[in-house]
Amino acid sequence: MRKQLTYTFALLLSPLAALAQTDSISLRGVEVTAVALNRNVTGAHPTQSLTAKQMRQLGLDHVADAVKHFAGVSVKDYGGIGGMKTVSIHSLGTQHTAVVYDGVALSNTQAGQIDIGRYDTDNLASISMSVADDDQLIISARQYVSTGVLTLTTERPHFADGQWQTLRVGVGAGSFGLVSPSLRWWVKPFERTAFSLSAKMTRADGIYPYTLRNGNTSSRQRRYNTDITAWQAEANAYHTFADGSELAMKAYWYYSERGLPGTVILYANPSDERMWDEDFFAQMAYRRSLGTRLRLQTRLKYTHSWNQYRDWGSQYTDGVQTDRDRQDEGYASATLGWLAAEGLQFAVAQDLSYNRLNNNVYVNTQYDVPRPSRWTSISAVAMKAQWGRMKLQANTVYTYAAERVSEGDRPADKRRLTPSVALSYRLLSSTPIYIRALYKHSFRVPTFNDLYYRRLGNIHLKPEKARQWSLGLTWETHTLRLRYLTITADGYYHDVTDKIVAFPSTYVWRMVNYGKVEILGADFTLGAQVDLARQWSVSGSASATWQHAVDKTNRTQQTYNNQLPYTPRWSGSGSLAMVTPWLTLGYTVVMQGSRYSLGQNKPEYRMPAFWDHGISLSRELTLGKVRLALSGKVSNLTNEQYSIIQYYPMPGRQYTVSAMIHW
Amino acid sequence: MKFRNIYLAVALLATSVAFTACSDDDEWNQTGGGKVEMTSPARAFILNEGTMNHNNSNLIYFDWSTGQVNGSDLFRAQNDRVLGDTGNDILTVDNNKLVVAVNVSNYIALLDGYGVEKSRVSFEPYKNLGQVRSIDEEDGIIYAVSYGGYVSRLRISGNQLVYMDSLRVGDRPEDVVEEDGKLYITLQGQDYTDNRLAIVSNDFKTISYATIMQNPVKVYEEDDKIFITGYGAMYDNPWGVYDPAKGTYTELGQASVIGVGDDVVYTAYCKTNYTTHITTTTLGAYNVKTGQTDANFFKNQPAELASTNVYSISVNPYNHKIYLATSASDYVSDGRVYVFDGNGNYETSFSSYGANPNRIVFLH
Repeated sequence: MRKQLTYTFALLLSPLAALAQTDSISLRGVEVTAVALNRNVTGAHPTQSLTAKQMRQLGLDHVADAVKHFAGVSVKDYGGIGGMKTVSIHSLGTQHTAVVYDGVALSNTQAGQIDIGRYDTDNLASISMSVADDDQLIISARQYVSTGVLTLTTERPHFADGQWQTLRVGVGAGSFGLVSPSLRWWVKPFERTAFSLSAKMTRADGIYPYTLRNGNTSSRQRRYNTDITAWQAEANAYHTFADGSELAMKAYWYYSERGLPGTVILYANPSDERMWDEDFFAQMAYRRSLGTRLRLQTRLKYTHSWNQYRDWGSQYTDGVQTDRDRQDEGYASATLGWLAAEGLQFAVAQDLSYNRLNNNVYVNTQYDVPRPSRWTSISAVAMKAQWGRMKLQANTVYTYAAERVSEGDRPADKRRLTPSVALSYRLLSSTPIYIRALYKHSFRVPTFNDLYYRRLGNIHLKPEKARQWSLGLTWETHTLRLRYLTITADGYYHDVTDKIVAFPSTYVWRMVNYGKVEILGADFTLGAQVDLARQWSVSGSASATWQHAVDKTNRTQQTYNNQLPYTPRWSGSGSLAMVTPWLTLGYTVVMQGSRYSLGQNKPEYRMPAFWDHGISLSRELTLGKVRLALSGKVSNLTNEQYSIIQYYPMPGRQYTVSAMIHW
Repeated sequence: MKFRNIYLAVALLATSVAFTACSDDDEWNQTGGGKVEMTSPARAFILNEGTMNHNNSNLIYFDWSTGQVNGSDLFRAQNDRVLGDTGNDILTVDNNKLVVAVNVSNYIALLDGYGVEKSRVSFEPYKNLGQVRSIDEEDGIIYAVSYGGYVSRLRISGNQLVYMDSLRVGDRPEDVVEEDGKLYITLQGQDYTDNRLAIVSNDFKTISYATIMQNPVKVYEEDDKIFITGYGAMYDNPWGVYDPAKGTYTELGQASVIGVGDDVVYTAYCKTNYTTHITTTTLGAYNVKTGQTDANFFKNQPAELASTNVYSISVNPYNHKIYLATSASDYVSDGRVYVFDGNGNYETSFSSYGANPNRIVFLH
């Protein structure tokens, strides 16, 4: 914890260190006694984060569960262990949110959305979510493009004195047939080189009971075709060169087979669908200082993803339909940071990526398969300045995308310049109270599905545009026992134009730039920790979001000025962790107010509010050189029967236990 | 005021006649009733498909003699549960029963003339049949086509609907109509490439095929002729007529939706420009006897109808009014029903209180 505070403090106070960001080596040995201010308080962009320790204390095992605790973030959760989970910031749409894993954005050019349901928190050091931009400057150009960034950071190997390797073996088990053994090995063969290897298997039959409401009646049902078997492995290598430069390499592999339970259909159980996924990526990040004022970061990545969807039914000629998709991406990125003067930094970033999709999904009755490929160039110029109590951060990004297809017509090239500016001002020198504001213009290039999907795709689509305005107030204080108390409040207005939607005609639908959305909202966060006594502390957090997110497409439509589907007026979360010498007790709650499942806000489409409570207990035991971490968790404690997506019921009460042995 | 009195007197007279008629009717109209008071014999029912995978299909009741609409789901009110997902077809039997086919929920239900469910046959146990799509009825036998490629027979036996047997007719049958003992079934085929009308003989064994447009959709019978709509190979919505006597198919123009009644085929051709997002709707009436099309048959309609997607056309056989049911432009919000008299003069419109009004049926 002290190391972390040291690190954070150094980042905040030293411009050079801020430029270096993750250069922990150069910071080693620095001793700081002042209390670090929370990044979400001082930053020009609202940035919420959870550390590994916090997630452990609260029993947040999955990224999707952790992200639900961030204000302004909605997770579309289709329920169950294998159910897809996607994240959207301020209701701007999941395709506008970048998910960055160890400095490089994950990509899915076909669907444009990342399923965060397949990422666990086991090996993460932190999760953070920034609105508009990250406060860091030396990042890839791709990170500057989106309306928000979810950042997952892997825990780097660390060793006790005299230790050169550690092994962690764990097993988790829980309701609905869940078993998940895992393994992690950290090794430091040389002083400047460290490796980590981790692997995990998850399997569950996933069958869970739920209450199905049908008119004025309700009945208990079971959710079937919910099984999943997933394998995940990751290898990391870290090396620090003699000149202080650093190389980090990562290889990641994921394979799963799962049933797709689909929508609950009254009186029928039509789902026999299954999905197989395989993802592999290898990435490398290199960073070095060029003199005292320049810093260079380069990144390379190759991603391969494959999936197979299969549905059985008598409506298919051979009794089965099989769709296969294969995506590949080659990605290169470089960012140069320049400390021009004390308190004034610049960065230029250039990304180049090549994506291609190969599948058996033809676009028309002539069985044409377009096999599209896309070159994307993103160039960013960014600056960060601090004058006294004022901080300014701005960037401009130019995106160029060009596509080729093997059959049919190709879409026009896409070019767009998008600016962003954010400001933070400390109102009082004596008290850390800040006012902040931001504006950002961003967009998303249509996905391959938008452009080419069978009969639905439209190659004439323009990019979907989003604009964000935000104004906020933040405050932090602390006393002797009160380690910290932070309060933030941010109000915002966003709009999305040329929204890409499926536009209907009689029986024939097509993707078009048609929708317009306006979002007026406010996010509130509160965090505090009280040290009760030696080894006794209580920490808590709360967040609340209010949103008036409405359709502004066409005045003559019944959905005009109606709240967007699945967007509650109020949503929120809370957590409480109590640390004692014997046990750590965690409590979490996530709530959503009532919302509508369809764009026309009719009473019959209204979904009731829900509260999902969870408690966890954990304890660590040291037996000689072996450390044993035990934990137990009850999720959805009150067995609330609810759905986030209509007719995709969430599981009721679930129990999970896990044990991890560290050598 | 005088007019109102006259209407009241006529309505009372009509009611008393109806009560008299009811008392002579079979048990159906007397055992019906359920929880919703429906005193008028002039009952009409809108089957709204809803939005697929939202289980929001519904049945809306209105009194076609007064135009009074009950905006809440009749099926739910009468049965405490909802229809389910994508009600795709509805018809009346013996002027006192309703039969509904619910596509994704995959069943056929027999209701009384008040929307109270009496019996249902689910196609779920018959997995090879696939999802039920459309139905027709003749002499108490329900003919149902399903996506597995079959046409099935069900028998109305008292209050019960009983599955009889099935016959494979081709890939992805979409609609069925019975005429003179034969069944005429549109086949869309795998990947929507079929261009045939399957004709099932009276023996329910022999199948012959006639070539029509590619990817056909709906099929209707009027004056012993079979009228068909389809997407066509270029999605230009051709419609045409198959003459069973001659065994010939003739294309008659473009129509995305048709409805039949009183020797007329009413047509609506809705074309959407995906650049301007504007839909242009052209209405017409084709006289089956003369073979003439009257492009100006529908008169004085509200301006918005010219840019609204017509989803179904139903004709009331008792007062000859024509009901053009339209979808909301997003196909998710509630639709709207435009009412014309038998001469094509616009009268009124009202909400369908559900998405995608599939068909309106009438009892008397």
